[in-house]
Amino acid sequence: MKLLGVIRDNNYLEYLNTSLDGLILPLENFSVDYFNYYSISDIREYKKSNKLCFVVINKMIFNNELDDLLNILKELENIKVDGVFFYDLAVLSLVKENNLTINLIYNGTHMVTNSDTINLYYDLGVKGAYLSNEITKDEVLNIRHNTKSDLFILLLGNPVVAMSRRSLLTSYFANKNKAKEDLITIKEPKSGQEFLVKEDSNGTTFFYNKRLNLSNVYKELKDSGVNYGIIEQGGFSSNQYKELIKAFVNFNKTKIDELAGHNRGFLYRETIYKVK
Amino acid sequence: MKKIELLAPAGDLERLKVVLLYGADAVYVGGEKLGLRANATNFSLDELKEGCTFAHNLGKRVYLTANIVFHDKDRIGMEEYIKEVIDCGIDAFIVSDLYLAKYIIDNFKSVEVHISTQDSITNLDSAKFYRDLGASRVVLARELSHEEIKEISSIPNLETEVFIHGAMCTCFSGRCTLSNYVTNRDANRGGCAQVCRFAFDYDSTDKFTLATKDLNMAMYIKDLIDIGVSSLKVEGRMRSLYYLATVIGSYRFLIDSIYNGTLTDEKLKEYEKRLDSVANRDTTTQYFNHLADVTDQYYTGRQEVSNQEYLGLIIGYDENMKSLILKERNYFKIGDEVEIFTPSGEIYPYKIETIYNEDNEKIDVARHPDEILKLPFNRRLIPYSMIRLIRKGEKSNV
Repeated sequence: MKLLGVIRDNNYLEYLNTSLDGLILPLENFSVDYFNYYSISDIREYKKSNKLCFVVINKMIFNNELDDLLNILKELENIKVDGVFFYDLAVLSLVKENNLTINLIYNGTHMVTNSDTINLYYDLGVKGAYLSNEITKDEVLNIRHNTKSDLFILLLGNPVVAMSRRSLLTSYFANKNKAKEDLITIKEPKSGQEFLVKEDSNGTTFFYNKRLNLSNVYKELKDSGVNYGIIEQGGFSSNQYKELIKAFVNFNKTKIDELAGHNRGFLYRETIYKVK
Repeated sequence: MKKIELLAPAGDLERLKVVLLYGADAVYVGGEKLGLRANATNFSLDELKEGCTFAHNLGKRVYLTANIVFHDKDRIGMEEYIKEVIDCGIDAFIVSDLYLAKYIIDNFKSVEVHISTQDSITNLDSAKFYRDLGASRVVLARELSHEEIKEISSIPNLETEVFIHGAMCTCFSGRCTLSNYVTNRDANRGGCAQVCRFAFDYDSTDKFTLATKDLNMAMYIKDLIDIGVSSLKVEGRMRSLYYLATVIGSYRFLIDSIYNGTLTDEKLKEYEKRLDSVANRDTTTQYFNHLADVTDQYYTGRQEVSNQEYLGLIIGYDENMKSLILKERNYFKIGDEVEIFTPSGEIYPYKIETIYNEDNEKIDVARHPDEILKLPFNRRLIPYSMIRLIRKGEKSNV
């Protein structure tokens, strides 16, 4: 399994010297659900290294953005990035219509949950899929068994829970006549679950405030053939994050858990949908 | 030019009949599998067949929701189920998953495939993608403006469906799993617990809320017709008969009046007021004219208000007593001013002077929901006529 990083602090080039195989770079103005975004020139700069370079374009695209999106895709083709994570089918459409040579990865956030759909995307030329965080370990293994696609999985990070086009923090603080904040923590009182709420120009994202840590199944996922594991920096300092990367590379579960906790997400917890 | 479709929700067979009688051109329902309202009543195969026959006899259509984001195990029995519901006579599937959409398109030519709002279609290229796949219609994302809807509705050989009334999701459809993380109920497989309506702790003095007001597009129906939208969709499969009858009846009136050129400002205002009267939350037009903002949200923990103006459902006529037979829904009494309204659009102002119970004894007050009562009236009315209270200071709509 190759390890990819998502960097939250500004100096992303600093991580070229780590054992990460590459980085995922969310593209500014065209991606959501991240804390740091990168320009085309940032991506070009990073691509000078021999590390893997994946770019995220996962926002909902609106009509007035389609022309810019096509230009961006052409630039990414020129830069020869290793892959583009996409949500909106406009990306797939434009790549196909314009015969662009771009390796696409289906990044449907909560919708990448079954083998058939991943296989259909594969047949449509999408050779990778970033699995949803809300599926169980058995479902991940089953998908691996039933698909040819390159599979990406979040090994460590704060899962994205929801995304709105609304400027929910702007509205909330305006209503309360308080100074606006762009990042707050809220808690659902009954369940005790906490969420980070972050707003930017594309809307508002909710992140789960418990870091997901799949260290306990890392080896199993790796042995099963899941191709890429993603390790997000999140709130870790640069040194802690480097330690964490090292702990994955040399596989030291105790160290990973010590740094990142024990939230295994939905690995062993199937969601229900019919309440008797 | 084809007349715009009024598409209504129906959580069960009775609601299906009511909305079609009150003027919907088509109805969308959930079956026993693959739908996004796993906790609604939903239709058995027999009910689906009966519903399709009822609709088709009126020249109307039935769409079945199959819009879950499925997991591998949900796949078991999928093909058989698809075949069974097609045999019941449905006219279209509303689908979210790309695999399922393509499977139905490739294997069953007798039904249409409509792409669910769950896919949050927000642009021309993604809409065209689905058209080229073989879908006949896309249900547009609720986050679009007038101009964006217009542009997508101009795509040849593709119908667009737009929500016009009812509750809104706070987040993009398909991009929300708050329910999964708070209640372990899967939002994208029909278990949504509507966590966006909860109040969250933020600081010691205040709660954080993210709930939105409801949608009401009554004043823009003409615009939606003019920009080429094919279908106007009302949300609310779990809403009451009275709510559905009022909302569908009102939009039927508005659409027909626009087409025959008789809609006046006064009538539009009347019907807007009527729609507001059955809403249990405030309404706005959300993204149609501007990006949703501070005015489109709630900032208190509880948003719903109860509505008690629905007094009774008329279920028959007593020829001997020349009285309507009704099933009581909410408290009413001698002296109340009410309106009796019918699925065909007639409205009768009425003052309650006599109430009989089931034993034909006079009573002064109706206070037991579901009690069978009689009200003197000089003629029989068609089934599913209803009675609503006229509040003090409010004028009857006739």
